[in-house]
Amino acid sequence: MRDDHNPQFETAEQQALLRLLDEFEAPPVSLDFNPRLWRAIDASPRPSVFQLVRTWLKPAIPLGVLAALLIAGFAFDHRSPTPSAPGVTASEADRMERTLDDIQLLGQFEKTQEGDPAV
Amino acid sequence: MEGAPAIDFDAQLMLRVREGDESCFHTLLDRHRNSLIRFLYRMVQDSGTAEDLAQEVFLRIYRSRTNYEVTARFTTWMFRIATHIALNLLRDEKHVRRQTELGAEREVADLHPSTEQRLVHNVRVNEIRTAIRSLPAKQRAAVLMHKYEGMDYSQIAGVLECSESAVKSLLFRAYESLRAKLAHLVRGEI
Repeated sequence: MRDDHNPQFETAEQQALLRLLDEFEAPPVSLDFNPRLWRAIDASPRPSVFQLVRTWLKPAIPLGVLAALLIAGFAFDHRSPTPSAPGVTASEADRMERTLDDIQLLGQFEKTQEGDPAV
Repeated sequence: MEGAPAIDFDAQLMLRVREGDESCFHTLLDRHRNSLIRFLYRMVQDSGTAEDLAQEVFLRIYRSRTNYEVTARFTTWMFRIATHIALNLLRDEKHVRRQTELGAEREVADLHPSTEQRLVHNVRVNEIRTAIRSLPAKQRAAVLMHKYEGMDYSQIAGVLECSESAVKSLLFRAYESLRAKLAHLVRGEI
């Protein structure tokens, strides 16, 4: 019988009611209760492999997400500088630049010749 | 409701069931089978139906083992499942027929001792059963958990998913109603 120090249960009448309620007893449990339950459990579908794997992995999901974010951040922070055009070395680029300069100079020289018939 | 409860022993057992240790489910069954069946018997007032419902409760617990998370005391969770199942049954009128039939059987069986004392006791118990059965289902559940299972207000609130003040109100109305219905027996007890 419970007594939560509540005035509700303090009168003799209320205590008498609680004593009276004790007379309502439950019958004993059937002997076949457990075997019946095990049969029902055996007959119930087992969880799939996917469910089991999901259960095992569930605690690791936040850690996995965190690790992926860290890796992505690291990769972003340490990304390589913009690469030069594929297949062209720095010396080749210098040579090309000089050639273009020469062509431009030659073009200017030809224009000067055309404008001065004495040459 | 219970906020951030410490993991009780039963919840630890259930976590081990989740990890695949079936022996812990046997332990949980042994620890709680009787109290659960007693509660359900007093709710539906038929032993066969009570055992069927208890089977359903334990089956649901077993089936949900892979998704089990500790959100409350294990017994709170178990009685919440049991109360939902019992309240659903009580809403369904089909149980009434079976209850009436089995109630008649029980009375015949109880006549066997044939002593006057036994008859008087049977009459008293039947009056108590009738008074409890006449309570609204939620009041009935609250009284049974409080009176017979020794639960405190907070745990009953956890089971019924309501506030502690709502539980106090349910209990007050239920006990008042029982006192009025059983007044003639109560007076004899004083």
